[in-house]
Amino acid sequence: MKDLSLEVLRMADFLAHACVCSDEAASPIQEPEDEQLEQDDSIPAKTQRHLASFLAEHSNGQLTSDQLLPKLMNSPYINQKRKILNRTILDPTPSRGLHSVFAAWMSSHFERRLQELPAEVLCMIESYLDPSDLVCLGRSCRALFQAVDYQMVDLRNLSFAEDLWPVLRENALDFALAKERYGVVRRLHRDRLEQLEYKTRNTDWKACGSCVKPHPRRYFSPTERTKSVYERRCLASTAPIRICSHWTEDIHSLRQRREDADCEPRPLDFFRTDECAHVDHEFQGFSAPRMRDLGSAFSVERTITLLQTNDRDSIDEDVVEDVLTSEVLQDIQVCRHLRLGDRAILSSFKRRPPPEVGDLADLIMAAVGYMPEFEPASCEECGRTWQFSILDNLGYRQSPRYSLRLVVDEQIKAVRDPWTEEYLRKVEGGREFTELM
Amino acid sequence: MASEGEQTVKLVSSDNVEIVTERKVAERSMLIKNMIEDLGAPGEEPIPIMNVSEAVLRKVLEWCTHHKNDPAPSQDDDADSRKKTTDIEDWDQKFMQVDQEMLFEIILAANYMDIKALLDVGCKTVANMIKGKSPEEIRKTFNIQNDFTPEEEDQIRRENEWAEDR
Repeated sequence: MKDLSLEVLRMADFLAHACVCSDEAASPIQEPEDEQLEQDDSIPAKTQRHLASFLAEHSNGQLTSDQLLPKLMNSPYINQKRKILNRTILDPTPSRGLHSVFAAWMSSHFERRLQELPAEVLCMIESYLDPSDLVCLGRSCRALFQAVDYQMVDLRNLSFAEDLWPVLRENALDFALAKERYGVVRRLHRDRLEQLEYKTRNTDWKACGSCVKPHPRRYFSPTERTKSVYERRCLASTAPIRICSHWTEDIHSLRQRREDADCEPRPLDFFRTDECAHVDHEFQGFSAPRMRDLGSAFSVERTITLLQTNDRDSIDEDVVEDVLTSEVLQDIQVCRHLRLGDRAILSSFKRRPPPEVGDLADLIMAAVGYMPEFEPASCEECGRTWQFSILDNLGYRQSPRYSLRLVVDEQIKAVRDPWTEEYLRKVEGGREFTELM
Repeated sequence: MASEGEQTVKLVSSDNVEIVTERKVAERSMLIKNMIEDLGAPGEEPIPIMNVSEAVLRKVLEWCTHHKNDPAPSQDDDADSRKKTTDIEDWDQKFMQVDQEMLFEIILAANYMDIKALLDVGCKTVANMIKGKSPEEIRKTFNIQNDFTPEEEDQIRRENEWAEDR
């Protein structure tokens, strides 16, 4: 008799719990959310504590979460943002009938799942996780997506909070955000690769770990084929790009460079440049190559100083011709097809007409003294561009004030996917490159 | 009358197994502690622990026995004062090396029996299992089905675009 009553009690207890669960699952998430928004638009205290400790961790021990908490609570900016950013609302799952309640009861006796833990326990687990972990957790299934605290996941709130900036150490927030973003990007990347690998098994295709795309098997060298998908690189992404005799890159390393740059807080010098540091360049005609990330491509720029003078108006075509055809300079290669002494280089020495005065900026330019500009030109064969320019050395304290330079610029459209495809098509010998999926 | 340390209590698990244990050990659980206080006469009346099966109860009591001399948790033990690290003691780590189902059962039992420290350890263990994993790896670890529709996945991707690669 006692047994039975215990059993009944337990069943009742479970049913009550299941009903609460199914109610939660069945009711779309927006209802309580909307009500809350109208009544109280501040972030729940639990989340604020969580955010505060997250920030404290990243402030290098300068601030404790207790110090940060009041700042967060009083930050109108963060509290307002909550209204603007809306969370994705999942369609309610079809309401669970008696059958599924029974099934859940059965399964609860045999198997416990992570997503079936009570909400308060899930909350505790989440409080130990970083935002990047929470993003990944939320993307694993519906139940967990709804369990994950959205305020904690979306860190954009924090980066907009101007009133937090003076409180935090310089860049602390940027670093924290960049770190989390990097964490998520790497993991989702891993996920996509695994999916590709799964889809391409037993086919003539292989997933490329650099392009995150499937390519035909023949686009991989035999050694690459045996590697795991994370390390496998296609021919296009491993093809060496020679920048100077001391510096070689390939597409994959450029991609990596871009990715690293994306995940770092923005440096003080906005244009990050890399320069070959080899001594040889000091004695050669061309300066050391400098690489810059333009977003759509990487540009490699090299300059050669042709002449230095104090009178910039004296630089005309005759002077330039003399310099270009001089014994020292005339054999320097601008690209594979052109030397400095070639006619094509000299003929590109054309001054641009000065802009019409009318704009304020132009007026200022006219007052300062108009700096002559030259038209850019490019090689017909390989498309490498060059441009004459006059550098004002004022402030550098070099004795001749102006120097005439030739700036040669090559763009590596490495990171763009079409480039890779084009390269692969070349490897293929003109055969068509088609997408698998 | 025996001193408090030597007193024993009888616990009854959900599958009706009686387990006799020290009062001090059992009182790690706030639920049992309150019950003993309410009942008044410990050791005579068996205390039913309805949601916890024998195996899990024994495991929980094993933990309680090891930690019986720990200082009692302070009342205002809030999330504030709790350190946000996931470091776990060696003994606890070994204790938590059980299969997942058992781990979740222990967490649920700790939640039900109101043993804050054990619940903390359990949650930390699960958090450590999640840390650094991608969604697919989380699914594999916890045997979760991906039940998002493609449209929903798209929607979520847009939502987390701050973290997506461009």
